[in-house]
Amino acid sequence: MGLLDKLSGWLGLKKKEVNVLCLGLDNSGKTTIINQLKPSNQSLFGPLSDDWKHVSQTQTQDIVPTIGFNIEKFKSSSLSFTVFDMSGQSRYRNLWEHYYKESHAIIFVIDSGDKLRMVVAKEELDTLLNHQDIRSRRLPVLFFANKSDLREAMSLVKVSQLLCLENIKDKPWHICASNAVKGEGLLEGVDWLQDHIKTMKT
Amino acid sequence: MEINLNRIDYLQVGVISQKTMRLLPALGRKATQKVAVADHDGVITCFGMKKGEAVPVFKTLPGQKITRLDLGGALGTPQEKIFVCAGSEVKGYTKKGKQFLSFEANLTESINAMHVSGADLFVCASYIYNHYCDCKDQDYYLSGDKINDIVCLPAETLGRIVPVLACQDRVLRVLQGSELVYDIDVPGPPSVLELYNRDGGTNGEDILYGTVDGKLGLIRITDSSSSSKWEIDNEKKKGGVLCIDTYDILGDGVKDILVGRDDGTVEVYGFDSSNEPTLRFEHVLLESVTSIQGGCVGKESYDEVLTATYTGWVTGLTTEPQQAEAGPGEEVKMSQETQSKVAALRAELDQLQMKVVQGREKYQQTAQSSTAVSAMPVFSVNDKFTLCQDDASYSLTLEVQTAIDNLLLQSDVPIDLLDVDKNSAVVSFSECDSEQPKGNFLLVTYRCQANTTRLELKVRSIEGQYGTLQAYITPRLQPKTCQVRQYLIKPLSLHQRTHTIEQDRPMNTLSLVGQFSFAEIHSWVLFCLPEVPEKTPAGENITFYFQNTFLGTQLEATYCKGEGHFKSDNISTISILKDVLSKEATKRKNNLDISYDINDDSVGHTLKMIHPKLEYQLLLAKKVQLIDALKELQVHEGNADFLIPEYRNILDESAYLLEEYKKQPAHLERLYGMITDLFIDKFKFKGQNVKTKVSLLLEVLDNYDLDSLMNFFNEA
Repeated sequence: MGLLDKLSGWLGLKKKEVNVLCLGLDNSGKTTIINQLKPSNQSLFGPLSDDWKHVSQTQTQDIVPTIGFNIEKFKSSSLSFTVFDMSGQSRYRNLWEHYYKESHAIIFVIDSGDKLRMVVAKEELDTLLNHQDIRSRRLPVLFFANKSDLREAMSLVKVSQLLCLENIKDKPWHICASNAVKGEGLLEGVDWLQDHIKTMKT
Repeated sequence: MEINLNRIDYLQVGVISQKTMRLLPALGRKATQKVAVADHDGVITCFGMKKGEAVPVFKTLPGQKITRLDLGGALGTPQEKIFVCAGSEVKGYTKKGKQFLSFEANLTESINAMHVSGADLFVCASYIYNHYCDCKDQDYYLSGDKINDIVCLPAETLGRIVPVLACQDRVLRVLQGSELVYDIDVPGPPSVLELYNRDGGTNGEDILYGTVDGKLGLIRITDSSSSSKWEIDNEKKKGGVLCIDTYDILGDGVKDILVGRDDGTVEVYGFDSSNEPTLRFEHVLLESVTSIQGGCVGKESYDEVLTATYTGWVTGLTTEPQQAEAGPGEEVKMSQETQSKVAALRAELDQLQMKVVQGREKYQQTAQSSTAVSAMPVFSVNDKFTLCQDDASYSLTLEVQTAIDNLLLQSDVPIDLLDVDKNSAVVSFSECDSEQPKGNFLLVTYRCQANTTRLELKVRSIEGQYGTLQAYITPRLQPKTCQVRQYLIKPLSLHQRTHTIEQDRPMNTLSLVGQFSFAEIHSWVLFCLPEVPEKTPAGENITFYFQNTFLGTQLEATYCKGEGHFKSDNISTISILKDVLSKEATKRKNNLDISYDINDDSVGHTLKMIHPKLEYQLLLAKKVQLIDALKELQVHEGNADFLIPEYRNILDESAYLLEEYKKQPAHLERLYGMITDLFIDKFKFKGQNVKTKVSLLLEVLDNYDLDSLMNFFNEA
C-alpha cells in the first residue's frame, strides 16, 4: 500500500475492503439480511470501484432462493464489505469450504423460529469451525438469530444454548436477534463485526 | 400454540381504580399507541414510549379521585376523546389534553361506572343509572342492588340503545329507555362488562362479563331474551375479574380474550377450532390488575398486553424479544438500556435520600413544639371480604399502595384462620382470654416479607356467632401509622343470595308481626344476612332467596311493613333468625309478635343433607389410618399387586387423601357442631332443654350411622 492509500484510509475516504462469508441453512434469511444492508439508493454511497460494476449494489425487491452463491457489496462506517452470500440448500453446502480461505469474517444466520433444524444448523456450524482453514484462525463470527419477530421464535439465549456457542473459545463471536425484513438488529451486528475486523487487522 | 410475553414496566402513576387505563387509537397502521391513565389524585397522564423512555403527551392537574376512564368520539371517527368521571362530574379531554367538556351530572353520590358512545353518555352511581344525550337528561333507572359496571350495545350496528347493567345481586339488567326489559342470571356478582371484540361481535349483541368470584362468560343479548355462549368456571380459585379486553395477541387471526384479576393474574384465552376458549398464557403481577388492553406501545409492530395495577404501575407484556445481543462471557452483562436505567435510579435515589434526611431533621425539630400537631400520612387500602361458595369460608384480601409491614387481626367471635399458600407472611397467634366480657376470640399478627403489597386471608365462621372482625394495617411508611378496617360477621354468615329455591322441601316458617316500618325490618335483615343491599328496596314488599353454602339448605325471606316471613328447611337457621331478630327488636323497644311453624320432616331432611358429607369425612379418616401400614407393606414386598383392589386404590390416592385429611378435623368439627345445634334447636322449639343429652349425641356420632342418629333425634 502506498502512502496515499494509507492516508486516504485514515481520512476515511477510501474504505478498507474485507471479505465476509454469509452462511446458514436454507430459508434462514441470508440474502434478505445482505439485501437489507445494501444501500437503498446507490447515489448515497457513490460508485464503487470498476471491478464491481456488474454486481448489483442496490436493494432488490424480490428475493428468491439463492443458487450457488451471489457476491454482494455494502459499506459500514469504516469498512467496505464484500459478501459471499452462499446458498444454504444442502446440495450447495459443500461449496462453502471453497471460500473459507479468503474470508476475513463469517456471518452465520439462524432461523430462530425453526426449532426442528436447529440441530442441523449446529452440525453445519461445527463442521465449519473444525475445518482446517477456519480452525486455526481467529475469525470473528457474527450470528444472527433471525426472524425474531415470529411469535414462535426462540429467544437469543435459547438459540445460543442450542448451538452451544459458549464452547467457542478461540474466536470472538457475537449473537444478535434480528428481523431481516424490517432491518432490526442488523446494524448492531455489523457494528460489532467492524470493530472486531479492525482490531484483528491492526 | 404457545406464546412468550416479556414484562416491561413503563411508568408509575398514583393509585388507580378499575378500568382507568386505555390505549388511544394508533395514527398510522404500524405506529405505537399512546396510553391514557387516570389515578386517584385526579391526574390524567397520557404518554407514549420512545426508545424505552416514557414521553408524556400531557398531564392534568390533580383533582378529585377518578373512578373511570373511557374513550369516545363522534360515531364513525377514531375514538380518541378521553372521558373521565370524578365525583359526580364527567370531563372530556382531546388527545392533546385540551379540556372540551365539563359536565356536572348532579348526582348525590359519585359516579362509579360510565360508558360513552357518540353523543350518548351513560353513568351509574351506586344504585342509579342515568343516560344523557348531548348533556341532556334522557333516561333514568333505579336498580335494586349496587351497579358495578355498565356497557351499551353498539348503537351503530343495532340502531337502538340497549344499556346493560351489571348488578351486585348476580344479575345483568337489560334496559330500554327507563324500563327494565329483562334480567339475566349470572353465576356470581358481575364486576365487569365489556363488548366482545370491542364492537359486540358481528351482530353487536355479544357481551363478556367477569364476576367477583372469578368466573367469565359470553352472553348474547337479543330483543327479548339472552343466551349464554360459554362460561369459564373458576376451578383454580383465582381472584375476581377486574378487567377484560378482546385483542388478537396470539396472532392466529382470531381475537383472544385478555383477562386481569384482582390477585394479579393476567390471562390470555385463545379460541380453538371448536370456538371454545382455552387458556394460552398466564402471568402473575402480584398486585390486582385494574385495567387491561391489547395493543402496541413499546415498539412498533410488536403486539403487547398492557396492564395497569392498583398501585399505578403501567406494565406491558410484549411479544418483543428482550435480549437483542450477546457474546461470549456476557451472560450477566446488562443491556445498555438497563444500565442507564440503573444509573438514573441510583442518582434519583441519592438525591431523594438527601432530601428525606433533611426533611426528617426538620420534622424532628418541629415535633418538639408543644402547639404543633403531627398529621398522619393518608394511604388507601383496597379491601374485599367475600364468601367463597365452594369451601364455605370468607376470603379477606387487603391491598395497600406501599408494602405492608404488619397486619393485626382481632375478632370478637370465634373464627378459624386458614392457611393460604400464596401468603409469604409470618403468622403468630397470640393467646387470648375469651372468658372475660368483651374478650377477644382471635388475635393474630401477620408480619409481611419485603415488598408484599397484597395479603389474602381465609376466615371460617360459624353460623349464629356474629360480631366484628377488625384488621389493623401498618404499611412501611414513615412515620409509621395504622389504619383500621372493620368487617361484620353476620349471624347467617354462610348464606349466599340465589335467584330461586326449591319449593317442595319441608319448610319451617318464622313469622313476625309488629309495629315496624319497611326500612326497619330491612335493616334487621341486612344485619342478619350477607349480600343484602343497604338501601331499602323500592316497593311495598320484597323477597330474597338464600342458600347455605355449607349444607345447601335454603332460606326464603319475604317481608313488608309490619310483617315478615322467613322460611327455611333448616331449623337452626330459623332458630338463629328468631334469636337475633328478637334481640334487635328489644334493643329498639319494638314489640314483636313471633310465631313459628315447625315441620318435623325438616330435621330428617337436614340430616340427610349432612349425611353424605359426614360419611365422606369418616371414610376419609378410615382410609388415612391405613395409609402408613399399606406403604410399609409396599416397601417390603416391592409392589402392591398382592393387595386387594380396595387397598391398592388407597395407595394410589394416598397423596390426595392425606392432603384432604389435613383439612378434615375442622370439617368434622363443623359438622358435629351443626348437628348438635340442630338437635338443641329442634327441642328448643318444643320448649325442652336437651343440653344435658349432648354428650349422648356425641357418642352416637362417634359410631355414626344415619338410622341410629335419626332414631336418637326422634326419641330424645
